[in-house]
Amino acid sequence: MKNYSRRDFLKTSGVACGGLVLSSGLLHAQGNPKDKVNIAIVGYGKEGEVLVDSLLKIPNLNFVAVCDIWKPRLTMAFVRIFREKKQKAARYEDYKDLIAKHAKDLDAVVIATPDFWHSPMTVDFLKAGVNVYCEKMMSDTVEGAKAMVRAARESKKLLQIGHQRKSNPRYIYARDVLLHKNNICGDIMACNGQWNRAVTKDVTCAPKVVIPQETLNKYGYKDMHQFLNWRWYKGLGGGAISDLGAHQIDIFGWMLGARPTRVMASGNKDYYKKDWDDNVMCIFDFDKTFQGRKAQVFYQVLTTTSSGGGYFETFMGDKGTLKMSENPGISKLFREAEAPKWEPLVNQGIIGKSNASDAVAAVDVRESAALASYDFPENIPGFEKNKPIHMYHLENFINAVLGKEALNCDGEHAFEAEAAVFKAREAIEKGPLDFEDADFVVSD
Amino acid sequence: MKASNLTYTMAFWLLRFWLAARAIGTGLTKFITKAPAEVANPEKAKSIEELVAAGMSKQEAVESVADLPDTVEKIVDTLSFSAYHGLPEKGPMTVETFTASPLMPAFAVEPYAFILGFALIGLGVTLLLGICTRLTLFLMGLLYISLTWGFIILEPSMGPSAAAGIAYLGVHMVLIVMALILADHNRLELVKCGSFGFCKCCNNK
Repeated sequence: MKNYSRRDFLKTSGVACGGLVLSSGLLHAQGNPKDKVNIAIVGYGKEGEVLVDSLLKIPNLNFVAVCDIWKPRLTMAFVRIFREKKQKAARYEDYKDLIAKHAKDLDAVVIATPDFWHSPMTVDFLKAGVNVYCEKMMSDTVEGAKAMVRAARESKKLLQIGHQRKSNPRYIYARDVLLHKNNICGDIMACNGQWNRAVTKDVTCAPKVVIPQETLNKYGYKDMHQFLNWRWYKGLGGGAISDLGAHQIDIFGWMLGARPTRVMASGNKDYYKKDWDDNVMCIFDFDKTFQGRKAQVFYQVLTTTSSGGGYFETFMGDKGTLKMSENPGISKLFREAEAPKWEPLVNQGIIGKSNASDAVAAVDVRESAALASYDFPENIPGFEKNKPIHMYHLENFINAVLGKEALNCDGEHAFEAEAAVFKAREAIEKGPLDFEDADFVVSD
Repeated sequence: MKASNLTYTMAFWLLRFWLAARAIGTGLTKFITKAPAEVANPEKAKSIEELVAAGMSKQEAVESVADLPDTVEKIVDTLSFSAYHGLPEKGPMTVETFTASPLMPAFAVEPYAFILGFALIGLGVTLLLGICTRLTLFLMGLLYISLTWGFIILEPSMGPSAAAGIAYLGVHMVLIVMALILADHNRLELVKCGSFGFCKCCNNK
């Protein structure tokens, strides 16, 4: 097994920037020295479909089997794969049957089922010797997530969790080149982030495609409504703070190079009146960031309004602000009026051009001078404008299976990120909570 | 050059059929509603097509998608007596709007809305079949005048779109008047004016 440094990984994957000094946080690649990957898909809901969209664009994948308890979706996955790849994937309702029949031939499985199935499925696949890519959240419970990490350790197989921003070249560039190498924000004392989404209706389906009641019960669902809307139910999912917030809360710790120290959070479930909160607002304290400073992070996830500019994470320093989003159109850089000019960085191509039209004139003497706005550079190594945002992370996983790269978000590090989400959910119930080291560590 | 009787007859027929179609069609729209209907599952047909195009045999393709339902429920437009609405249920021309207007006798609005659709269809069918054509045209004209009155009431609040509606109905009135003028050249009547001893005003030849 070859030990890959972060630098090796970047060289191999083609997203390297010269002279980067990058932090650790990666497992070593341990995949097979072969060029064809036998893969299975478990769960072909909306997220599963998004992942399959990207997987179908990755060469050298052999789709061995697909699994879903909803037969029409299973058929759709089968048709999709045959249409694109001319491969007849075997179809299964029960993932245990899939393991029994194909585990010995499988190199990898992609799991995109409701959260409460992630842990048992991941553990079973890892034990069967199959490398796993599992969607986040790792589990609906802390214990479930820990079991996944332990299973990965014991099996010595790969476990990648779907925090796909960690493989996004724009995010890697922002973290390594802009924040860490060029210290573009100065001292980052505060961050904020949000995912504001308009009201959505409950998912429904036609009566004739409803899953038989006994099948629903067998797989842990009370009824079809619960199956289709599992994200809102305790015991099945984790609500918006898990579904949407986990991606972004992960990024704060990753960018700041630290674990949060404290969290306070408030939730409101008065709109949909479901198990989990419609809207959550939380504050994470970081006592020591990569800069050795304290920082506060405010994060909100709202599912009752799309107001406020969509979804992004901002890192606000005394010299400037980095506004990140998976949507490149939302991403921006802002320089404080008194900060050194950024023109040298523009000339070197490290950041893009100034965008004077974004400036807002001050109307009161108490206001600070307007921030100068800059774009990201035109060319970011490894970034392709039309590439699906999940594809980088899946490519990283497949390359790790092939022994060409190390994982960008293995189970151990994903657990660290998700511990913050579990704790925030707890803080809604109990009030401000302190983190302990044990919160981030999975004991044997 | 003087037009022949046949020319006048054809001109009248065109007006008669156009006005009949217009009235019947407008009346029928008042019975349109959205309702679920079973239609062939387009997803299934498309899947079979795609599998075959990708190289699978037709039989295997059909078997492969057996879990997809043959039909799906689709919301389609349909005609229904229970869906009848003489005046629109939403927008600026509802029963409530006209009832609140000082230019309308409030008690008459609901009965008017009730008969409007049936009146349009009835007059349209009568005109199409050629039953007491002159009287039918005259009643149709009165009906369009009543609709014009509705737009006049709405003009202060709706503005140009109501004015356009008035002009639009004015065109209908011109056509009705032209039809009445040409009615002497009518042929193909099921019931001629004056056949039953009434309607003496008509020029029964």
